[in-house]
Amino acid sequence: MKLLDRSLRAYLLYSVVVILISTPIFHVVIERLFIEDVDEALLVRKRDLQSRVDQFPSFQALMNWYDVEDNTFFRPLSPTTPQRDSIYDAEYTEIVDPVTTEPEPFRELSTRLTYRGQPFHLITRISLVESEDLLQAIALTQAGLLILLLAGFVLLNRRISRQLWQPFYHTLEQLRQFGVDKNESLQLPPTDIAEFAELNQTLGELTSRGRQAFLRQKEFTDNAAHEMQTPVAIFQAKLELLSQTQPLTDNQAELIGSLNSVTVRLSRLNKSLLLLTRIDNQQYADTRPINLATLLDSLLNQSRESIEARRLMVERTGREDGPMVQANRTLLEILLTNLLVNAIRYTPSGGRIRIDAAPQSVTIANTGAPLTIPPEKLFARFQKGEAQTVGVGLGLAIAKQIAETNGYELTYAYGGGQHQFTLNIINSRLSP
Amino acid sequence: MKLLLVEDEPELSDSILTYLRQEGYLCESAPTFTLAAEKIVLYAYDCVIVDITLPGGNGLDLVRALKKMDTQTGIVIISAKDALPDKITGLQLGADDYLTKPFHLAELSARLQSVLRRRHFGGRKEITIRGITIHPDEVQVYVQGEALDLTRKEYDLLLFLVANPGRVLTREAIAEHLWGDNIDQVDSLEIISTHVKNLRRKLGERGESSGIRTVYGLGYKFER
Repeated sequence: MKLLDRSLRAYLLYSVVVILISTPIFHVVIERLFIEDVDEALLVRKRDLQSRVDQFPSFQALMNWYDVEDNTFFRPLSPTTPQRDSIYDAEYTEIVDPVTTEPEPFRELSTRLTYRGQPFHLITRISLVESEDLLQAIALTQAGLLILLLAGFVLLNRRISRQLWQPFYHTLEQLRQFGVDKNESLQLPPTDIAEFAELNQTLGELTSRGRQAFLRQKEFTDNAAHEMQTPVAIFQAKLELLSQTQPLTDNQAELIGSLNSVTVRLSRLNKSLLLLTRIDNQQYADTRPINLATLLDSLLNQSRESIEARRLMVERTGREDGPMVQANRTLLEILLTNLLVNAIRYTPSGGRIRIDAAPQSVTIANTGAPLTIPPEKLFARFQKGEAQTVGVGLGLAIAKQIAETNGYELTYAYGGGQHQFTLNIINSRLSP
Repeated sequence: MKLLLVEDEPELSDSILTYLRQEGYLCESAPTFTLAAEKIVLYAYDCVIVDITLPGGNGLDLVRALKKMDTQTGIVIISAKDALPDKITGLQLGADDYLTKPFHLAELSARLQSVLRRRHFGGRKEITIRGITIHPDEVQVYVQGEALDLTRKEYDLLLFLVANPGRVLTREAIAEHLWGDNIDQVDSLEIISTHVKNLRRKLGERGESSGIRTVYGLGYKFER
């Protein structure tokens, strides 16, 4: 549930409770006020009548008087005549409301007045029909107003909230697209809401710190690999000078030989690390259209010596030309060479390598025993098969990295005694 | 042949100088940009070996300066930067070759000879040793005046051996020379030994003892 809806729900619930409680209270209060008003009017009418009854010519004339609305009566004193003013609710079955046909409610004053010193009984009443109608109208209006208020409240809240949360959603979208390895830093627009401004500021600092750390680490890897090249170069050069010294016993020669191969491995490792950093840094920006199958065939040709030395059979299936891609040639050569070298290296002598080209993919498959490492670790850095330890263990990691940088999919599968690497061009920037 | 080595790392510089002097080159060294810039103006060199990252300046500026003087001086760039743009810039500026550190001294020596051969049109272009004559322009080998049929790799191997006579060439140096950046070649050492075997056989069939000696555990050596 959204934060907006949750707060809105609480407000609505509160409003409904207030309406339910306030409406009867309101009704009662208004009614009481009205009754008081009517009672006062009755008393005013009594005073008014008292001051005018003396104008009647005789007591009899007064008793015979009636008003057209039949709401005021003068009667001779009787035992029912109260001593003091008495006001009460009254209903008369013979007087019905013409609209509802129900007995009309009245407020009635029963009291004494005097005609030239002679007391008599006064009954006067005011209909409450109008007041009830008024009360109903007031209640309805109140309810209507409240509903209107509530609806307006919901709409306004929703609208204002959406506007208020706009910076938040914007920030969220920016964060979703943010990556420490991407070139652009987080762009958060200024907002006048204190909380969001604070959030943006914190996020800005956090992401920029993360980016800084990432850049520093990248720079460090680059520098470290770089700085290592010089000592390795010196070491290799000195070894070479050492191998030229005379006399050189077989024993010494063998030692120098193994030192030399270690140096070369170190240097390759270093170069591979530098390559990985460079791919990360996207330093291979220039791209051109390349046909993957054609490139693969030419690389296969270059590896012919290795293939012959291991007496491997090469089978070329599928289309003559494969997917056409727009990419950096050096990187694609490295990618395909690594897959090819991997296939040659891990195919047992006399085994088979199959190269297949499809419109959207190329496949390199080779015979061999199942993996001794979990397949998901195959593309991890420094993972090597048990059987051989010739390589530095970065070939497939580099291949994967290059594939990912270009938006391709590099997958591995094993079946029927064959390891199969497929490079899928799912998202080529150039269709053939 | 007079060379100038512009390299700030003294240990590396010493090694290169020792190796090249043994080859018979007259070598001078300049460890800083300023010194190198002075030397190339004051003296004439057949070839300048220049590092890109130098204290006081960029080696590529030395290449520019040399090219501006319009000399016949050959230029070989040696750099710890294996970046393609650097390589392209260097070669576009007119450098003859580009070597990435770490490199084998034998490789540097072979590249130098190739640069010098190309630069000095007046000089001898073919290489003759022990009755074997190599014509690099034609990519052809003659034994006792008769053409010898070699594969490209066998030819490259022979030229590399001949370029470093009397020196031990490690199998790793040969592998890098033959396959270049494609260093991850599988079984390269076995392939080299096959090539050496074939080369010996082909030279032997012409009655020429090949002069390629195996140095146990280390590599091969071409006897003078």
